[in-house]
Amino acid sequence: MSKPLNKILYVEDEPDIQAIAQIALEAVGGFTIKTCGSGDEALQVISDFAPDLVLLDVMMPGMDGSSTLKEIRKIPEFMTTPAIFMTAKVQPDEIETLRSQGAIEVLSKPFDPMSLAETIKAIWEANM
Amino acid sequence: MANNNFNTEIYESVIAQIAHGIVLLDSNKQIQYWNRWIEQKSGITKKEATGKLLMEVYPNANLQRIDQAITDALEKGHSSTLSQSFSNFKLDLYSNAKKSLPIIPQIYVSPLKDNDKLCLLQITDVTAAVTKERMLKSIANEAQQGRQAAENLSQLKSSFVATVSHELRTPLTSIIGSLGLIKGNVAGKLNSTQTKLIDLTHKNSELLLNLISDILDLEKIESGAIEFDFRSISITNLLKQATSGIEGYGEQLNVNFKLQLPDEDLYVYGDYGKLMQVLNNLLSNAAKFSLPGQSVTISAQTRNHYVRIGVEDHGQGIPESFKATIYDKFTQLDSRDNRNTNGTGLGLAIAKLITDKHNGKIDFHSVVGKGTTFYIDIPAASELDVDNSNQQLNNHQFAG
Amino acid sequence: MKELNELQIDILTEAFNLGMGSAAASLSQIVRSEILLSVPELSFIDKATATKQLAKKTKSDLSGVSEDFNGPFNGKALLLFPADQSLILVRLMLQDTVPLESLTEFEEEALNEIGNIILNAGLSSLADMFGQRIETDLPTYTHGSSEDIINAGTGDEALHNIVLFLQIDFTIKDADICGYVIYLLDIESMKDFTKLIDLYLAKIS
Repeated sequence: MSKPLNKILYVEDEPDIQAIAQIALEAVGGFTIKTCGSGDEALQVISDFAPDLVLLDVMMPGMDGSSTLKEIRKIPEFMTTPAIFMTAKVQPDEIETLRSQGAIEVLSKPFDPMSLAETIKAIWEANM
Repeated sequence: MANNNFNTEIYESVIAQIAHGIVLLDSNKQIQYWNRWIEQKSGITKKEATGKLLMEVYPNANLQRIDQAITDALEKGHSSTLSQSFSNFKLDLYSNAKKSLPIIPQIYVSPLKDNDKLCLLQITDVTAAVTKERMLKSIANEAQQGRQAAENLSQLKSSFVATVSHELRTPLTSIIGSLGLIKGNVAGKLNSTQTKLIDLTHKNSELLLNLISDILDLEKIESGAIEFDFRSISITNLLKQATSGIEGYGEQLNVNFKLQLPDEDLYVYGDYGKLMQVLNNLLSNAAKFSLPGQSVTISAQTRNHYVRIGVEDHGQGIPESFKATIYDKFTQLDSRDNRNTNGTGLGLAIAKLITDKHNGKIDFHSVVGKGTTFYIDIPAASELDVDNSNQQLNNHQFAG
Repeated sequence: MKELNELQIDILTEAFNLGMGSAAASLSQIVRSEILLSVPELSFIDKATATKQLAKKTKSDLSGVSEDFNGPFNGKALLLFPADQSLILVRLMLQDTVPLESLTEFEEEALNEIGNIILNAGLSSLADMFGQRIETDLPTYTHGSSEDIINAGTGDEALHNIVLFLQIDFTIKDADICGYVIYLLDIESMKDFTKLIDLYLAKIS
């Protein structure tokens, strides 16, 4: 069986979307979520939280999702931690670029909160 | 003898009558001949001019270049052409006696052939040509400025629409997200009244979101901001994906979709995503206007250089009166139907725009009470460069 | 046809550079901004070669100015630019920014004036060098392919078969424009021409 998915680090700057995703993942999916409002915050808390998966919004002011992931990967324990991007962009070539930056999947925004947990679980299983 | 006189007199007459200024200067640069034209235009008589230097006749005229040209003609035998474009001579020449219509001159200076003692000045009135030209240039200039302004305006509008769309979408996304969770009983079990109200709110929010997307889409396509990615597309792939995508919706309405593929695969030259958008719209419309239990058929056939994709339903039909306006923005067959089924009223407008950009066309025939067939004609492509891009575009996880 | 030797070519190039310097000064004064002219290349070739070379270097239709001259040797002087370069040149000199597609009538006159100053200056420098008088006619605007222009109006094969071919470089307001000055001479004139150069060389040595 694959390693269980419990802790997800969620990086998203919009507080409302944070709130919705947190409820969607915790209440519906049963995961333990830590939300961060910025890439900097994520880097500060990641070692203590030790997530199984990192979920990152791409468009953020300051350090964007890609840069944040790059920095996370520099930390030895999280070099191979699975990551998923969330983006409102739709162009296929932009999606490809994001995938090639070391994410196992790219999800589009807006997301359906009722099925987000399912989707993430499915991605997790597929990649283990 | 008589002949000589005849010749000289006639020549003198001719020169006197020539409709240009003719001035002869001797080797001292003094005026020896001043013809009638220049007498009239300058107001200076032959008698007054003869024996004088040009500078004496026109003391304030800024004659430096003319003077140099005269020197070159006398000393070197060079001819020169001088225009107002490069010099500012202020020769007082007027078209009328009242001296209110100044003349813009073109001046030619040349040595008299085989006579290095005389210099010939020819003065031509080019006022009309110059004025016309200036006007032409100013019109061209204005036209260019107009174009620039129009472009700026269009860009401004595009970025405005994009910004507004983004600003409208962002809070809506949160609204829809929260409502989704509440609807899913995640925040506690809802009673039936609550469910009804939340459903209503959720549906209307989604409608709003779709509307914003459609408006942005329409604007982008119209303004050319979206680039169409044209390639050779297999009809089989296109139609298969279109039907599978709409299956869920069909189930909701209890309408089933039939696929009628041609024997041999056909290829069109188009943008896959955009064509999917059109087919999606036609299929969902067909389903909307069908009665439960009916089926909608999508088919394709070749017609010369085009492929015709048809979507046929057996629903209520569309009255003739709508034919003219059905592709307009926000035309709705029945306003009640619209809100019930999440239509934005822009689907056909976008569909028409997309088919136009494909150099194709969209049309329908319908019999009220019997059904409607919508069809689009898209230019056919050769099989040679089929792109097997069955890439799914991002799933819009909010089903219409 | 006797070609010119290196010494003769050098002395001619020097003379033309002087002449162009003076033309540049006149033009600079007219537009009130610096214009530089130089003659990097000069050669004596036959008309057919000149036509070919010009066509190869410019690859387009040409616009320019033509001036007949006579004196110790006779011929036709031409100042030519690739058509689009002529537009740029004239508009820079007129300080015009309106993008019309081709030269207007007035701009043709302006090109005539510019060409007139340059061609006269070139002939002046030759006249000074030889201590002779070279008379010039009024310039006319010309346009067409290099073949059309170089072969215009010459009925007799022998006439104007030798070409003194100069490339001139213009720098005006940070734009570099390359033009060509061509003196069409007939064979008789060629002989006189060479004689005059040698006379001059003898005088200065």
